[in-house]
Amino acid sequence: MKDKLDDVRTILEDGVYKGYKFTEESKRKVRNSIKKKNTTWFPNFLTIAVACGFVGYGFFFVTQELGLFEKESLQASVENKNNEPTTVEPLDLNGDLSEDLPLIVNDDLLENLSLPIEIQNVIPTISSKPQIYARTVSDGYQISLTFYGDEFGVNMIENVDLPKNIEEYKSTRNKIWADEENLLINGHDAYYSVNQKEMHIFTKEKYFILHGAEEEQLLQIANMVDTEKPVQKINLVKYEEVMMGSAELSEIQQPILLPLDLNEKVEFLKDTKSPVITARKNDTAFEAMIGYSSPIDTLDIFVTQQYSQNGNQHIIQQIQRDYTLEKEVEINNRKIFLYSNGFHHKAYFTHQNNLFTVDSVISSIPIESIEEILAAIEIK
Amino acid sequence: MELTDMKNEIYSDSQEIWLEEMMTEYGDKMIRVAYSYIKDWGISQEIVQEVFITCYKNYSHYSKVENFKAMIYKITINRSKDVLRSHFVKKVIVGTNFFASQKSPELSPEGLFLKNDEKALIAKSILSLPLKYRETIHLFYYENFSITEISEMLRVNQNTIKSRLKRSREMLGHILEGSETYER
Repeated sequence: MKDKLDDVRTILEDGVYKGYKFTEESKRKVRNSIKKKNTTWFPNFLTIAVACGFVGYGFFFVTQELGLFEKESLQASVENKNNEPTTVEPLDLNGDLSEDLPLIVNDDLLENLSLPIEIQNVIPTISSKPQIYARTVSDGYQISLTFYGDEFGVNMIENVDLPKNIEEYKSTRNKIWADEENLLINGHDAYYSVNQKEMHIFTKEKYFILHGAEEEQLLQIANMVDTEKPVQKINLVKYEEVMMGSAELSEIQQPILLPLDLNEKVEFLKDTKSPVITARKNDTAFEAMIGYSSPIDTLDIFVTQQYSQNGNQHIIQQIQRDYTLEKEVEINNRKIFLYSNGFHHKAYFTHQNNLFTVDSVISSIPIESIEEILAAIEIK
Repeated sequence: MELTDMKNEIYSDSQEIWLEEMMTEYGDKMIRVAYSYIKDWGISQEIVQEVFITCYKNYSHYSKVENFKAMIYKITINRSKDVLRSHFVKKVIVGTNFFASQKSPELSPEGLFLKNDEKALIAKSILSLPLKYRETIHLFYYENFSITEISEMLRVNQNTIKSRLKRSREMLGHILEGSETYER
């Protein structure tokens, strides 16, 4: 099968994909679309600016004088020093960020999260913690939680956006599937398809998608969503992706401490053959990784050295967030931390600006062998 | 012409040149990525148009991205997945037997290709895999991305990608074995 798949490119190019291109007509549509924007931008801007000036001033005057205005849209109810409720400006959630940027999952984002982060009591067979990612969408952001399971896991998405955008998603949406039924979750409109194991819930400022669990479980999870949680002004921080290019080990200037003969040093790996070695680097960081096939289930066990001039604290924070600490041991003058999420092992220790990790599916390697691997790395 | 106007014009020109280069370099590739999710050439064209307009609008950011290739793949994948949530696509395109739905009196390129040879069967089997396996196979074997790159692009653990590849191969093996038995 593998040999046949190696030929996938030719198979698809000569077959299904043959003759299909991004057409001239499509290119013309793109050009027309941007030209429309370019040519009308200035007059529109001028009109809008002048109109906003007048309307804004008038509005400000009336609201200040008469106190009539209650802001619609993303209002955060906050308390001032005297604990009196007040309102703040509609939240500009995205700030200056453009759409579809990865975000750092910081405390602000997690505190504002309405989705439940622990659902193992509902579905015991999934990972104890989810992997969490966030990105910007139109005027807000989207945060997604993935819980791993044997065959299928559970995915949950929370979109936080301006009410007009949420309303638009809702009014323009199509049915999840033909069997979709309408529900009320905590008094909010929701749509559910048994066939797709998917539920969509709409509140004024948030739009949730729950996917993957059976009906009863999905309903339980839906009832755990804090639909009434107010949206707070939060600090969205762009995740600066570390771009590294592929490299040969010999091209890396800093010392590589990862032993390339781990299969000779660690009993569990002794029968593994042809480990895959990869490396990436940029001016300030590098990553060297050895992948062994587990003698138990042939899935990979990755042993990695990550060096960064700025340290690897952000990676450690992510491990601590996404996994649960199972064990902490001190061997060969290093403190090894063994984490798990019920499906994956993640173990590490640090040395100067280096982070050494072992990453594998739980069933692929016993925990003692992970300790053995990390203890075999010679730090100088 | 004022200096600011000149600057704007130069900026706008370079932005449009960048767009043209981007459409030339990535247009066909992105169409195929979108198709691997949506399985409809018309909708794929619209998705990719949107992707280019988004990139153009965010020129100041995207033009400076070092690994633009990974970025544009990510945007196209995310857009395709958004579209997949729509009922129309799910029901009409994905939910039905795609190959049975090609009813043109003349055989389409797919139709011509999908005569009972082995390659056709492999292509058909790949496109009939569940989404998460299909995307992994497409990115790994067709686009030649590494497991690390796919992991970053899809924001999925590397071991999961590895497991999905393994599972995809098993599933394809089963599908192909089944067809061979049936044909015999």
